Amino acid sequence: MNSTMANHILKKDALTKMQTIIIIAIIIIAAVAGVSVYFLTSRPAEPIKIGVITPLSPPADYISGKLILKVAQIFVEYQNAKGGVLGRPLELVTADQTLDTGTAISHLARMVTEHKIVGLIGPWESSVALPLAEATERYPTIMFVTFSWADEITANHYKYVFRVGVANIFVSKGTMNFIKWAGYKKAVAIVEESPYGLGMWDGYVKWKNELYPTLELTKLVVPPGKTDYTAELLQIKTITPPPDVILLEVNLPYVLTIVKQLRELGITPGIPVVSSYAFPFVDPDSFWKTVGEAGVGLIVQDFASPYMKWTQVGDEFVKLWKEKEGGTPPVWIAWYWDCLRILVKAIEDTKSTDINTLAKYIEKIEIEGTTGTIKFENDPTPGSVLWHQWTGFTTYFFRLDSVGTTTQNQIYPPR
Amino acid sequence: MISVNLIGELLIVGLMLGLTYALMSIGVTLIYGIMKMANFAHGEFYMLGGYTVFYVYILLNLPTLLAIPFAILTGMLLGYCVARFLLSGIYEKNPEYAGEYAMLTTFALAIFLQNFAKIFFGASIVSVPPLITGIIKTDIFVLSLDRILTLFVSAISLFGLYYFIKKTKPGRAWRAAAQNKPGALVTGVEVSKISNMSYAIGGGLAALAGGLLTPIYSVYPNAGFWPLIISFVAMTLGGLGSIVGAFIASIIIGLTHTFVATFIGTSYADIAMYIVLITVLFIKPTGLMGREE
Repeated sequence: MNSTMANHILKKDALTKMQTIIIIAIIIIAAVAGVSVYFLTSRPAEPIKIGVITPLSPPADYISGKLILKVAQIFVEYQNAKGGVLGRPLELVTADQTLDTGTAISHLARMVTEHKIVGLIGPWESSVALPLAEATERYPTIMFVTFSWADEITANHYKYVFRVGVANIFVSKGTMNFIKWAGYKKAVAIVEESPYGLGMWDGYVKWKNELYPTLELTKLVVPPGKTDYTAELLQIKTITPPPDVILLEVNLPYVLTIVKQLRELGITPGIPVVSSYAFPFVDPDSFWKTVGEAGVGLIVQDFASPYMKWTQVGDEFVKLWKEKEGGTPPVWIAWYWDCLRILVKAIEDTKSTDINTLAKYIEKIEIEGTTGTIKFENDPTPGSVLWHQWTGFTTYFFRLDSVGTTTQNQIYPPR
Repeated sequence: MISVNLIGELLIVGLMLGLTYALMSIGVTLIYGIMKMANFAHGEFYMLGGYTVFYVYILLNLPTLLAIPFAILTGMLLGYCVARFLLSGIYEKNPEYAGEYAMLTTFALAIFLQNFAKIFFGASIVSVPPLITGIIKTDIFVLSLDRILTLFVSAISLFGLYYFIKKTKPGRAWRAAAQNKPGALVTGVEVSKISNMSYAIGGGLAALAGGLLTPIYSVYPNAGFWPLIISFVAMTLGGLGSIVGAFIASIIIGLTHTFVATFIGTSYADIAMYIVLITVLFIKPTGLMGREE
């Protein structure tokens, strides 16, 4: 092919100037049209994400964790049916808390950095909930706890952590109020050698001095992990005159052995036993099968009663729970419902999902909860538990009058 | 206030605790005596004995007392399988360090069995009705019939084992295997079979203890931890491999526990057990009834 012929073909195949202009114009018009359509037509709103890090497998308390996940799912369904929040749907991001702090914190980091969650519920065991609370300083999100009792969760004054539930210090106060009301004058506290047991003892000492200074209080420390406590419990028999009440602050499963051995040694039922921890209600069937008659007469503290009045919000929630799950929800599940309502109200009222804006708003929120009005104490004194802490709960005491009973006999507050 | 009644009660409770500890420690002492190995899985045999009683009671609806033979069988069968298929190879192929390797194998087995129990039986605590219902109440003490039965079985097991080893022909072969393995082999004693049987009987005794004590203590996946600790302390205090020594040591531990918890403080009860152990070993490094090699 010679060069003249090649130039001819090139000229013939090449675009004319006009053709080039037309093509560029079409491309520009198409691009403008595409972008306009993209921005002008409605597309699904970006969801607002809420994290749920809760125990979903043993040996962590996965039974409670599954209930927590359920309440979150019911809430999201309920709220989305009402149109979501600020026109955006709610979406859950869930993860198994486990008992491994590192795992839980890595879930939090992923949820905050990748999913951009605005709030977190579900941390359960204090041993994990406390490090998670600490981690919200590095991975900011609004974190709610309910039944994680460690005082430090609020006493450490974390910026984004709120507790709609109880702390050790309030639990021991409840028991001290009860034994004063019941007129007991001499108490022995069997406390487990663990942060829980010794923390409860510290609480007893504080509240005895403030509320009931005339009470004679003796400490009896027992190590966790033993199978036989008879040697330790015998010490109660050496106290003269004998105590008129025993306070029992030991965790499962060892507390069951102690309940049985107190009866075996003949210490109960003569001396009543009061537990601040409602361990018989965790799995009543298993409790009664394990301790039998030895459990009769036990007095336990809890934060809900079949005789208590739910608020209007509470009634609505209980009805919804009954429809979806059946039965009455545990009170701490209702408190999780409250946590989610607080978060949604904060987003709606501030029209923001900025964590700092939400935290500032929640500090001063006042909202009707399932069991009463919820507002947070914000005492800035370093170490005060009353920081981002709700204190509106009521403590109830029940006596187990016969094998198989649970909350039938509420003895305090008197009905 | 210290009264005669209180001292009487402390003695009885201490003795009762001691006999309970003896029941826990006989099996581990027997295994050490023959195999020269600390069986770290002893607590898990105890735990499995408890679960066997629980499941026989639940599934077959048998009285708790009749579930005890099932517990012994489970312990023996599992013990035999572990010795035959897991440990015998170590003793055959690596006789010089067999005890050390076997000990670490049982440590791994213990962790495996604990996790197995968590997965298949659940993490919750379970219990069964008493073996025999009722209590004996006097001015000095209150004891459940379950405790009394446990003490009785503990004494019978100890006596039976002692009689077997000291007074019977197979028992002599066991003693020979324990004292001088090469010598026993030369005289035709089947040492490997004796080792397997001793581990099986040790497992059976641990399971018997677990089965008998489940109505008193309940059972859960980690329930074998404390029995293991007590067994090791009793075995060491009594003199490694000495069944009579382990028995006496168990009684001493039970009494120490009770008196220290009552008169000094509950926080010191466990420490006292170790102080007694260290003191005895300081004075007599082979333990109370142990013999020098």
